[in-house]
Amino acid sequence: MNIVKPLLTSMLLLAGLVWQPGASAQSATAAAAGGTAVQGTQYSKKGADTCLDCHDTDSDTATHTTANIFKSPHARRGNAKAPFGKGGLQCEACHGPGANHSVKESKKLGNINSMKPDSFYSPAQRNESCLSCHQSSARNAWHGGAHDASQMACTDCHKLHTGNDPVMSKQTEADVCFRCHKQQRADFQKASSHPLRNGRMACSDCHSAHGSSTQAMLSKPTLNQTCFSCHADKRGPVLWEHAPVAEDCSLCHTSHGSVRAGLLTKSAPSLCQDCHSVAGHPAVSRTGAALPSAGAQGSIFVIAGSCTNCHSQVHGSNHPAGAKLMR
Amino acid sequence: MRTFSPLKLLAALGALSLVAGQAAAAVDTSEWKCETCPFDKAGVSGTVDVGVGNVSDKSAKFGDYNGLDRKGAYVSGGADVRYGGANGFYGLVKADSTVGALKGEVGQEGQYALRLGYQSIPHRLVDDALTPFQGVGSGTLGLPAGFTRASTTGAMPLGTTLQSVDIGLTRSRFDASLSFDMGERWTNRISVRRDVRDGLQRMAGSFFATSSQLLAPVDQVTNQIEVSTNYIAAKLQASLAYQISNFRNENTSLTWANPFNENASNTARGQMALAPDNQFHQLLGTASYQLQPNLRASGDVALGRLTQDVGYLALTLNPSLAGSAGALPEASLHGKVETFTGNGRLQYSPTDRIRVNASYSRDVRDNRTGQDLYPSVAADMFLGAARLNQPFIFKQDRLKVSADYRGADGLKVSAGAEENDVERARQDVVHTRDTSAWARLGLRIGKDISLSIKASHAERSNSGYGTATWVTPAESPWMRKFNLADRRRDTASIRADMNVAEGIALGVHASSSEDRYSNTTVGLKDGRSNSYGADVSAAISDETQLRGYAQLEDIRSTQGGSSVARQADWWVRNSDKVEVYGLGLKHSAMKGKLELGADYTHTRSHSDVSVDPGFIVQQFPTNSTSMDSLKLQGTYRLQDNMWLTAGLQYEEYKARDWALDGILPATVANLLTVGAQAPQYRVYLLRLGMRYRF
Repeated sequence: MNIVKPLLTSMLLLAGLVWQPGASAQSATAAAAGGTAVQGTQYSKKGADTCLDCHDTDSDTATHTTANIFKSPHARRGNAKAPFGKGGLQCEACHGPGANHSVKESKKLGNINSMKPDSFYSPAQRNESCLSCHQSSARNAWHGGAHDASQMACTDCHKLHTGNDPVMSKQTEADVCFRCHKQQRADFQKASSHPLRNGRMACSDCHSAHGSSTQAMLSKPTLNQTCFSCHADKRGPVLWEHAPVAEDCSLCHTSHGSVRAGLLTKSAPSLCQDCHSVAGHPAVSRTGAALPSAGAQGSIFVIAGSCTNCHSQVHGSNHPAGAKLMR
Repeated sequence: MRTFSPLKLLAALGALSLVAGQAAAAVDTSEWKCETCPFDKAGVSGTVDVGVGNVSDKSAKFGDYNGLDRKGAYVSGGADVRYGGANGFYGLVKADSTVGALKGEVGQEGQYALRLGYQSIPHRLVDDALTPFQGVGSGTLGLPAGFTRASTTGAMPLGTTLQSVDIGLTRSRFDASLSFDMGERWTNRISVRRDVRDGLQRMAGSFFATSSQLLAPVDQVTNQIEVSTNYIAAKLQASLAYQISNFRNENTSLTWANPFNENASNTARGQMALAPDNQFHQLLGTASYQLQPNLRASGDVALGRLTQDVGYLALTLNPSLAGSAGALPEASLHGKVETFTGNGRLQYSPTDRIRVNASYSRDVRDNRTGQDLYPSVAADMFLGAARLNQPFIFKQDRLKVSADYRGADGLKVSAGAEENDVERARQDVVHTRDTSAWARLGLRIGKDISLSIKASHAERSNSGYGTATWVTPAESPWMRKFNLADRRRDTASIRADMNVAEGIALGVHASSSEDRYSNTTVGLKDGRSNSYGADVSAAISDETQLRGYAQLEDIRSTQGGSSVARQADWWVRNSDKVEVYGLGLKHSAMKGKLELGADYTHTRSHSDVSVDPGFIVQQFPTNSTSMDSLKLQGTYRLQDNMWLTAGLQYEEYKARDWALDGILPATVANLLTVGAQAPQYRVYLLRLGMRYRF
C-alpha cells in the first residue's frame, strides 16, 4: 500500500462533500434567513457603555460574569493593543459590531458573536476575532493544526471574563486539557508520570496547543528535542549510541503515565528482548521460577534492574569500552 | 529515496478559486468613554497566603514531586500581588510554596515585559537505600575499611557496613526573559533558562557475572538561551530564533571499588562514564502567509548542530589489560550531529464549510561523528576484536493531507491520509514506509446528544530486514525490531456526550488499537489496547456541583523469543490492566461564606507476564499498584478580605513488584542491590492557613 490509495480516497470523500446539495451555499448569512438575526457591520454608539446598559449583574450566571472582563488583560487601559486600551473597540473588538444587537430586544437572537458554542458563527469564524490580534509565532501553526482541524474555538479552552484564565496557570491548565483528553487524565494518575498532578509541570511544557508541525503538537521541532529540553543528559552524541535513543524516546518510554517506574512501556527483560537476542547471549525465556519468592536464589537477569544490572548505560555510553553499554 | 511530489500538490491547491470576505464598517471611538466600566483601580492589589501543615509519615513516593517526603510540620506561603499604574506600568509577584514556584514580572503594557521565575521539582525515588560504598555523592565509591571482598554477597560483611541513603534529586529551574516591541510589527524576546539537577541516581556496575548497584552523583547544569524576533503584518507573520542549549556535568565518571572477589582478574575497580557535556545550537524560522482570504500557507525550518567532545576515560582500570588493550584512536569523540526539520503547510477553504489541509515535513538527524576502530575490553576483564563505532543517521519524510466538512446541526466529517518514510543508516532496515488513512464523523442527535467516531488504518513495510553487521555476536537472524518491522495498525474510537437532564451531563467513550507484526517470529508480534470511560457532571443545586469519572484500560502484547538463534522457541504475553476512578464535589454554604471541596481518586493496576517456553506456561507473580487519594478542603470567609483555609489529604499507596520485593542487598549471590522495595505508604497531610486580600 502506498500513499495513492488513501489520497484518492480522501479526495473522493472531499469531492462528495463539495457536491453535497446546498453544502457550499450555507453560511452564517443563510442561517439568518432561517429566522436568525444577522450581525450587522455597524458598531454601537457608546461602545462598552452601551453593552453594560443591559449586561449588568442581573445578567450574570454561575459561570459567567460580564464585569470580570475588567479584571482580565483585555481590559488593561494602558495597553494600546488591548480591546479596552486607547482607541480600542472594547466589547466589540471580540464580539463584533453591536449596533444591531443593541437597538433591538435581541437577547434570544443570534445577532452578535456570543463566542459561545451555540453561536451562529462557526468556530473558525469565532476564532478570527482572536487571531486578528493574537498573531505571534506560537499561532503560526494554528491553521490546519489538530485543534483547528477538530473545529475547536479559542473559547473552548480560554475563559476571557476572568482575572485568572485557568488554562494560563500551570496548576489548573491540565484540568482544561483533560476535559477532552480523557486517556491522558487517567495516565497521569498512574504510578509513574510527569509531575502534572503536583502542579510542577503543565501540558504546555511539552505541547503547543495552538498548533505545531510535529506529531502530537509538540512545542519543539521533534519528539526527542522536546524530551531533551529537560533531559539534556540523554542528548549525546556519544561514542556508543543506542539507536532508539537517537531516534525516538517513545520506543521505550510513554510520555504521560505508566504503571511501571521510569515511564517504561514494558518491564525488563521483556522490553529489551523485544529487540535483542544475540548469539552467545540469547534472549532466554526468563520465568518467575527465577525469583527468590519461588524458592530460587534469584537471577541477576531478572530481578532488580534485570538487563540493566549489567547494561546500565541504556541511553548510550561515551566510555571507550562501552560498546555493550556496560561502562 | 524517491518519495512523492508535495510541491505539485501544494501548487494544485494554490490554484484553486478564492472567496473574499466582508469587512466591518470603520468606527469612530472618540465618544466611547467607558464611564460605567468597573476597571481595577491603579495601585497594588492581590492576595497573600500563609499556612502551616503536617505530614504524618516519611515516604519518598508520597513526597515525589511535592517535596513532602519527610514526617513533620512545615510552613507554606503564597502570594499573588499585582501593581498596576495608570500609565500602563505594572509589576506582579506570584509565589506558591506548595508547588515550589516563584515568579515576578514588570513591564509596560503592550511594550515590554521582564520576567523572572524559579521552579523547584523534587524527584524522590527511594527511601533508605542500603549501600556499603563510601563516598556516596562523589565520583568515587570506595569500600569501608575492613571490608572483606567475597565471592558472594552473602559472604560480604554487609551487616556492619551497610548505610542508609535516600535516593532522589531536585531540579531547580531559573528563568529570565525580556520581551519588547519595536514599533507595530516587531516583537523581540530574549530568554534564559538554567536547570540545576542535584542529587543521586541509581546505576549498576558489573564485572562479567557479578554486579553492584551504585549510587551515582547528579550534579548537572543545563543553560538554555533563546533570542527571537517576530514580525506581524496583516497577511504575514514570521519569526526567527536562535537557541543555545549547553549541558554541563560536574562528574564525568563514576569509579567504584569491586566488592566481589577479583580472584586473578585484577578487577579491583571499575569506571563508568557519566553523561558527557554537550551543546546544541539551533536556528529556527517560522512563517505564515495569508495568500488569499481562504488560502493560507505556513511553514517552519530548524537547523541545528549538536556537539560533544569530552575527553575519553581510560579504556580500562584493569592493570593487566591496560597495556595490551591497544591505544584509542582519538582522545575524544569530536561528536557532531547536524539536524534539520522543515515543514510546509497549506490550508484552503473552498467554502466556509470545507477545509483542506496539506503538509509536508522532513526531519533529518545527520550524525557526522567520525568512525574509528576502538580496542575492545568487555567488563574490564576480556579483550576482544576492535569495534567500529556506529553513529546513527536517519531521515524522515512525511506527507499529510486532510479535509474536513462542517454541516448543519453539528455534523462534522473529516478524513485524511499520511505517508511516513524513514531512511536509516547503520540499522537493520534501510527504509520503512508507513501509510495511513483515517476518518472521523461527529454529529449531534437531537439537542442533547453529540457523537464522535474515528477510525484509522495504517500499514508499515520495510525495504528488507538485514542483520546489523556491527553487532558481535550477531543478533538472531529472526529478530524483527518492532520499530523497523512490517506492521498493520488499526484504531477506532467512539465518544458520546449527553445532557441527560437539566444540569446533568454524561459522557462515555471507548477506544481500541491493535498492532500486528505479521512477519515477525522473534520480537514483538502483536499489541492491543482497549480503553473505556465515562464522565458525569451534575449541578445538583446552585450551591452544589458533583463530577465523576471512570477509566478502564487493558493493554496486551505478545512477543516471541529465541534462545538458540533460530525460530522462536518461547513466547511471552504481557498484560496491564488499569482502573482509574475519580469523584469531586464542590459545595457553597452559608451564602457563599463557606466553600467546601472534596476530591477522591482511586487508581489500580495489575501487570501480568506469562511465559510459554514451549511446554508449560509459567506465570510471574502479578505486579500491582493501588492508590487511594482523598482531598478535603474548605475556605471560610472571616471578613470581606480575609479567609481561613483548611485542607486534609489522605493518601494510601500499595505496590507489589516481583523485581524488588524481598530483594535485599545480599539476596542474590552475584548482585549487590540497594535493597529498594516497591513503595508502600499511608500518609495524612493536614493544612491550615489564612488568606488576605488587599
